[in-house]
This record gives sequence, C-alpha cells and structure tokens, in this order.
Amino acid sequence: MLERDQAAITAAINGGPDHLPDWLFAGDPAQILRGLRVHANTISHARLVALEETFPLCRDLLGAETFNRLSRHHVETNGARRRALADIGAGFADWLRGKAPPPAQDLARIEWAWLECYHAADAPALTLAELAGQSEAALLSLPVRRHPAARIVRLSSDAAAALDPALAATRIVLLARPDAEVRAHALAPADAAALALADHFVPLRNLIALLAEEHPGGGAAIASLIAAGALEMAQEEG
Amino acid sequence: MSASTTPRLPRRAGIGLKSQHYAALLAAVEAGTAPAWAEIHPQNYFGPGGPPHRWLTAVAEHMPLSFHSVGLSLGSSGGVDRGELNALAALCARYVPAMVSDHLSWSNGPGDKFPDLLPMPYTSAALAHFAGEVARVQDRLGRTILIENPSRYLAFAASNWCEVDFLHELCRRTGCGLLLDINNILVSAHNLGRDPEAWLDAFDPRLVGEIHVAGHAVKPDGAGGTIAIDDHGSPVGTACWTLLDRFLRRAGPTSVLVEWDSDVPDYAVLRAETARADALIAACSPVTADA
Repeated sequence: MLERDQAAITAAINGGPDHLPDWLFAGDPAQILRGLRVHANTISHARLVALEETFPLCRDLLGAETFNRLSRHHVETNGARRRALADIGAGFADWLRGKAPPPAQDLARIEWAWLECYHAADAPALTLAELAGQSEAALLSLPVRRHPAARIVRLSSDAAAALDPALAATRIVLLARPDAEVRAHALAPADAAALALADHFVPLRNLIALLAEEHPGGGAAIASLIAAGALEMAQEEG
Repeated sequence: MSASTTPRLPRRAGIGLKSQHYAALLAAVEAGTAPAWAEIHPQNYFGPGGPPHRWLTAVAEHMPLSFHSVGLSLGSSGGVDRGELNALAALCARYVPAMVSDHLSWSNGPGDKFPDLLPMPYTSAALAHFAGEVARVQDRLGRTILIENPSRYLAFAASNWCEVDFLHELCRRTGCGLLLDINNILVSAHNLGRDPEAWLDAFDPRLVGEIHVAGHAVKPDGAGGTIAIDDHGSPVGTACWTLLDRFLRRAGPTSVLVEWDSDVPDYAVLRAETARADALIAACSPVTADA
C-alpha cells in the first residue's frame, strides 16, 4: 500500500497532477492540487538553487534563463533526479558538451572541481620548509603523492579568466587546498603529467626526472608544485 | 541506548548553525554570549574534510551539537537510505552529538531522491513500516533518535490515525522521542483547517526531546483562500511564540531551536530570536510545569 501511494505521488510530482489518482488524498480537489503544487515547487526550486550555487560562474556566463533551462534538462535527463543536492552537479560539465559554448563547459568543469577540492579529505601538504635541511639522498627518495584536495582541470578555452584574470592564457588549472582556502594555479602540461604520476606514492626523484625532461623550467618546477600545496608526503606510522 | 559519553542537549535555546555565521558564533563564544547549543544538518558535513569540518570541530569544542537529518527517508517503502545512514553513523562517531533527529516523511523513490519531506499516510501498515525503519536506524547508530512532526499540505484518504496518536505509538514501539516542531503545527493546522492549540495540547511532553520554532509564509492559494508555506524564511511569528509558551508551561524547560534556513539574517538577528526563546524557557518554572 505504501509503495503504491508513493509511486502515485512520484508520478504526480514528475508528470503533473493528471497522474494523481482521485483515491489518494482527502478533501477538496483544488486544495489537493494546491498542496501537491507546494511539494513539486519545493523540489524543483531546491534542485535549481543547488545547481545555481554549484555553478555561479557558468550561470553568469550563460545568463539565468539559459542556465535554468539547461539545469531543468540536466535534472530530467542526466540522472540528477536520483542524486542528493550535494551531488546534483555531478556530470553537468560533460553533459553541457554540444549544448553550451565551450567556455561554459570549462567553467562548469572548474566549479565542480573546486567543490571537490573544498570538501576533500584533509591532509598536511608537503612544504618547501620541510625539505630544507634534508640530505639530497633523503630528499630524492622521499615518497610523495598528489594531495587529496588537488584537482587538475583541462580547458578548451580561456574560461579560467573568469576565476582569475591572471589565468586567462592557461589551458590547465590546478586547484589546491593546502590549508583552508581553495587556490587556483596555472599548470604546464609537464606539471599535470607529474601530478598524474603521483596518484600513488612515488619517490620525489621520479617527479623531478619527469619535469627535468619535459618542463620548460626543468626539474626546479617541482618547487612550484610543492609551494602550491599539490603534494603530500607519506606520514610516519604511529 | 545512548552511550554514557554522549553529552546531553541543554534545556535552553540553541542556534541553527549556518556557514555564514561560523566566525560570529565563535566570536560569541569568546565573548561569553553564545547560545547553549547548536544544530546542524548532517548532510552538509558528509564530505570527508575541508573548511566545514574545521569550523564544526571548533564549534563542537564549545557546545553540544544536535544533528537534524533531512536525508534518511525513513518512510520510503523501500526503506531507509542506507548510504545516508552510513554517512550519518560516521559523522555521529566523529562528533558524538547530543541529539539526532529526522522526520516523519519520505524522500526517496526507485528513480528519485526528492529534496523535500513528503507526507506519510497515517495507517497501521505505515506505522509498522516506519517503526521498523526507526528501529533500524537506532540499532545502527546505537542510540535513540527523535522524529519530527511534519508540515502538511495534504491529508491521505486512507489515514485512520490522528498524527499525534501515530507519533505517540511510534515512540511506544521504538523508544524514540519526538522533535516537536511548533511551526509545523501552525502550517498544518492552517492548511488542513484544524485547531493548532488542540493539536499542540495533544502531545505528551514527556516524549518531547527538542522543540523547533520558525517563521512561515502565508500566500494566496489562487482560489480565494491562503496557504501556509513552511519556508523558515522569516522571524518566528507571534502565534508560534504563543504556542511555545503554552507548551513550555505544561512541559517545563525543554531544548528549543530557532530555525531560519532561507533569507538567513545576520547572526545578531538570529541570536536575538534564541534569546527570546531562552526567556520563555526560563519563565516556565517547574511549579508551573507540574500544575
């Protein structure tokens, strides 16, 4: 009985009041429709507001009307109805491909990564100060990996300028949160390759070697990644 | 079922913790003017880390917390949301809140996760189902929880229990308590044409572990009448304060939360509302309560 009732309410919320059976609710039909409308509006409003709050830059670029139209379409067709509000923006950036200009898709990608970075697990970021005073051998063998909050976003436009005008020319953005605040940095392709290599703990020498071969700044570029808070080192047990 | 190390929720007014108020609340702690406890929606802290946990950890060092969940979907025919329950259990283990609550409602269907608290029919079958899910949650959390009476816009034709009897029987069967939302009584009474005082007076105060008060909107319904909307977007209304006072004089001091979830004002405005609630709690002496 409960399953039948809830299926009927679900059908009415998703498909409109024509789907509401007349046996379900007591009272005046106009009042029933009024009550049903409150629930339907609450649900629709909450989903749209969650998307607006997740993608404010994308919304600014597209304009409210276009963003809301695309948001409704995303909710209805991209599996978002099954997600909690905190996750309702998952997949939105990829889904925008072909439906919105590339900069809008890029901004959505940045904003989703920003949210992931913000809520990611905490961990002490490796700092240059921690490396100072270590012997060369110890430094090169130090096991490091990408910090759990670090996210790499590849762009097809100059959309990062909306985040920070200094990032206008970059096509790869690093989002890092070594402390409380999420910060954006421009990355060279070799930086991104080094961080990809550091998905699991690797000796620091491996990253330096890769950067030495491929980065315009050579192996010294590792210092920029460390300063950005993009790496963590293995913590001692106990 | 509560662990002995679980703190108790003070029988005073608490504040709904909003991210924009983190710093102001901690400043109030330093100044000695903070409310006695704070309530959060645990769903806002299901991420593994980041600033929300830093702030919450700092707040939890100074005052007990109440976790007011909006995502368990206890009334869903398919049962409680297992993912939400696991996340809630982990958060409870991390922060050891003084109270945990959710709603007499459902949110999940086979293909939907509705961001709303949808109504339950008040039937014996629904009661048995809901009690089973409350028991499942309490077993998983290792503690009793509170269940909140809903805001209602609809009445099921099949209902053959009144809401208060339904909730009282739920408590009897599961050992859970009640989160009495007085604003919800006002909203439901307005929309269903009932007497809010009689509705409130039917609640057994011994089962009430926490009270919510809030503001709501009353809008034209397009058919010549009005509809009350539970939007938590304005100061607590006069009628809500009056009913709170009425209940406290019968129940004695009880934990009271002022809810304000949309168009959230400055911390000082919200704090003034909690101070008003504290004044009403202080005024309800045990002598009056026993009378």
